[in-house]
Amino acid sequence: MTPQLMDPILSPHQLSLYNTGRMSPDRVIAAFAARRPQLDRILSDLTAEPPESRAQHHLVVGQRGMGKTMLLARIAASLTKDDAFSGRFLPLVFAEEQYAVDRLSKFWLNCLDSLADLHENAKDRAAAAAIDEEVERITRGAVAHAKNDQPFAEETLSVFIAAAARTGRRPVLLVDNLQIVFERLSQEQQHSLREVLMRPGCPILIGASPSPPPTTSDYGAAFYDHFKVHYLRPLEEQEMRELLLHLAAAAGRDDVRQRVVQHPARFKVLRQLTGGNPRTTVTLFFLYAEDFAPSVFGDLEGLLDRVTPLYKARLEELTDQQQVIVSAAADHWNPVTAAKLARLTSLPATTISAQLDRLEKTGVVERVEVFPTDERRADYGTTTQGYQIAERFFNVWFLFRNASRRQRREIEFLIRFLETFYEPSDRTRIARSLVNEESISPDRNLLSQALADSLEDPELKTWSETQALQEALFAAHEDNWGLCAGGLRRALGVAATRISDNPFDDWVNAAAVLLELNFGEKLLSFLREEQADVKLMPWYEAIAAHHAGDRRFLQNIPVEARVAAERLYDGIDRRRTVLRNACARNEIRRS
Amino acid sequence: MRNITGSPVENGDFFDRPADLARLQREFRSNANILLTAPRRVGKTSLVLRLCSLEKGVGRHGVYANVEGCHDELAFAEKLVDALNECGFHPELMNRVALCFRGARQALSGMKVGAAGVDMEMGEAEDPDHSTVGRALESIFRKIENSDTAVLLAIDEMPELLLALLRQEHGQDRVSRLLHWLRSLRQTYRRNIRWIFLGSIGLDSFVEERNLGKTINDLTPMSLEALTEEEAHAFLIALGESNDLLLDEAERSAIIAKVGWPLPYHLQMVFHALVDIGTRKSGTSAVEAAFTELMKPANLSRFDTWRQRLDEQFSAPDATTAKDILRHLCQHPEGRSREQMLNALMSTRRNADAAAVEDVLARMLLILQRDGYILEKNGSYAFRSFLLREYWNCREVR
Repeated sequence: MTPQLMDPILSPHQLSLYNTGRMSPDRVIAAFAARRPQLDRILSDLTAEPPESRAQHHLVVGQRGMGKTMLLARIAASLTKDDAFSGRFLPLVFAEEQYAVDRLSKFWLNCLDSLADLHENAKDRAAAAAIDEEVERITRGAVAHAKNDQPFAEETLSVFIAAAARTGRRPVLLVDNLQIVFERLSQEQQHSLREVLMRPGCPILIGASPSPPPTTSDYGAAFYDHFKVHYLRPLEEQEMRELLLHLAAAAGRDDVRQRVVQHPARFKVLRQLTGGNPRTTVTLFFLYAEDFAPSVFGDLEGLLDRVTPLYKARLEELTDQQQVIVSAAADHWNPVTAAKLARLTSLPATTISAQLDRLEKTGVVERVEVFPTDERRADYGTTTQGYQIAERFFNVWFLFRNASRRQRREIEFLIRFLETFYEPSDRTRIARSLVNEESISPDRNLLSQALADSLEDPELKTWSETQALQEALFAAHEDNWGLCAGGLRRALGVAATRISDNPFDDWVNAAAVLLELNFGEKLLSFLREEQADVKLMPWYEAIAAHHAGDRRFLQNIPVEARVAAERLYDGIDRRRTVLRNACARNEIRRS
Repeated sequence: MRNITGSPVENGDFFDRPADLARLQREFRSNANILLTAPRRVGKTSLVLRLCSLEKGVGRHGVYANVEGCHDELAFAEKLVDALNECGFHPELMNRVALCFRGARQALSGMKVGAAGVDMEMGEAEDPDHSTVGRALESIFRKIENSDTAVLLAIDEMPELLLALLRQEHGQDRVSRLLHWLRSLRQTYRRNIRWIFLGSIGLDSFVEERNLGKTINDLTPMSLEALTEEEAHAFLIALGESNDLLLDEAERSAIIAKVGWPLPYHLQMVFHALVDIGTRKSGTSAVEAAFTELMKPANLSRFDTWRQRLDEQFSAPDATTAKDILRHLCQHPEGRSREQMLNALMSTRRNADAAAVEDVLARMLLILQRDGYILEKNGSYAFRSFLLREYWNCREVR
């Protein structure tokens, strides 16, 4: 069913990434689309819950960004706004991170806090104040109980149960990151909590966790198989389509809806890029909103900043060995075999296999078929198992944020992104519009470079090469050799044109400027590192002769390169003269 | 009947097990007190809740007390009094005793109960009935015994309380004293009071490991099994009818065959998966899809700890034997007899002494049952959970 356009409730930029907790129930309801079946099932279970039942408790399991927090917020919104629930249940929402809860008394105190918040939001200040007073009273002696929390926990629980009973509604505890609470509670206190949750008429716990906490899967643990578990799986293409259509409707953007409908092929790419992750899908919604215009890339870096906490947390959740493996796979971008990962990481093959197995289970990497392209290999023409980072946008982020040679990586990440996201015709369209612009910002320059590098269009490649050389020279003027080398490296990577001896040739000009700025030594060393002393031998030798200050130096090089090198030497020489004269004129003007 | 997984069920959600209930009632009529054992998730608590409810229906009191949140003897006593109070039994007496306990708790002021345990004094020396925690409780039992009403006391998760006591000062001594005291109560008040103990950890294993077996030798052991095939069909029919997802015989048979040992929890879990994949189509393909979903690597990865635990828990030779047993069993969903397992072990230990291997096998089977890996029915051993079995098959065999 296609969602109908409604009065706009959200702008694309209000589709919050991390502040679901601060969205009003109306906004949550408007933005929610991806996890409708799970919502319906949980609400249906709540509806069927008799008042004094020993409740069915729920656990929502999914990786970060899979929609756990949003689902909990949506349940809370229903329990608040829907008449069928609001008279029966008290939705108590907790801060997303429950790091402060290290004992059961604090858990119940949080419940009391949340209940007081609920009263305050409902403008029932007297009820909120009554809870605050009770909390003040019971916490006064709490220090004395620091070593034995149990009596205080029981007292806090009684106060909470009584305060909830006064509302005549049953508390529903919506606890995100439930695994943190379980990790910090002692075994004894976990059993105490379980006992409370097995009482008739008990609070109903709906928790969320990135994976099932050990206490729910260890046979001897308190909450073994205690919850109804709802796994949040990656969205399918159709579900992503529905999500985007829903967002378009919520944002009142019929144009976006049209684009979604008219470009069905893009879902495959979007699915690949996001790994079916709803949060990343929402994040990339703005691309649709802006019709994939070049201007959106001004926002792309901001977007990468915004997803950094999400992805950083995902990386940090991994063990040290897993981080090494994920880094190598992300660095590789394309599917990589376990054997190659073993070479890249210097880890034993058995370790790699075991860790890849775990990484696959947690959805960080995915198994794909690899087709060896080297005809000399025995396995040419067959397929083998390879691995790649499951969520391609995570890989894009990794290349952007976690590589040492930053400037180079920036380009690389953009190329990967563009190659994945745009078809060649789109890329050409965007690139040409950028080439025709008169002035270009550094961000746009980066984009245009990446676009050109991702295309086979010779005109665009030449333009890209020129841009890179200009950037290198600008950096050299600023005395920033690192940035200068980045530009040179990109220009060498494109190498679209043949170097001529014309003093106005970009390469000749670059050599002259860098020599005049006394970067000769660094330039030669850099060119050797990049093996340009072989690939561009005449140009390299011409620079080396200039640096040595002697044209006869060229007599030592192979004859087939010598003539070209001598012409380039002369071209550079003429250009240096022009530069010196210009410099002198400037000096005279300044004086 | 709702689709409930994990929590105990009552009233219309409980799938009736008349034979098991009748068995328990028969034992109570012949003055037995019962120790109900079964692996986790078989449905002990739900069964006992139904039993309590049936007791109420015939004018007796069925009192259920989950004591796993209790960390000392006083809390245990408070929990019992609260549970009796909820039945409306002698409210005046209950309130008085409850007040005594509350006073004693306040007097402790955050301190722990200490070595006295169940003999902890409550500062009411002038009233011998209420001078200690134990005596206060005993006064209630006397009252019950002298009344016209019988009471069934169902104590759930007793070993959790005992484990909590063990972790405290004088733990061993307090555990022993509490168990002896409970035994003496059972021996003294036999006319109107019946007891049933149950729990995630078997009380029998707990006392056996601590050489306290005689403290419960008066209890009649009874076990609760998985559903029979016939019951499992009836269970799935009822569940389907209540949840608008009717399952035909082929679908039900496919589920039961895949699950192997039809525990209510596992049937509920498969049903949840069927609903979760959003299918409404009939046929065993939907059942296949639900199992495929349940057995996805991400869903099975939680069993990694079950595998790792064997190496941590056992010596290397014992861990090898445990893994060999489980590797063998995971290929036989229908179960294997002890002899068949011995043959399988001997096939990889050709020079070993068969008697010694048999000893190790017997010991490992007991431990693997206790720890929830396997269960035994009519002399046949199988994986308790079909998911764990599938995990083992993926990791160790395929």
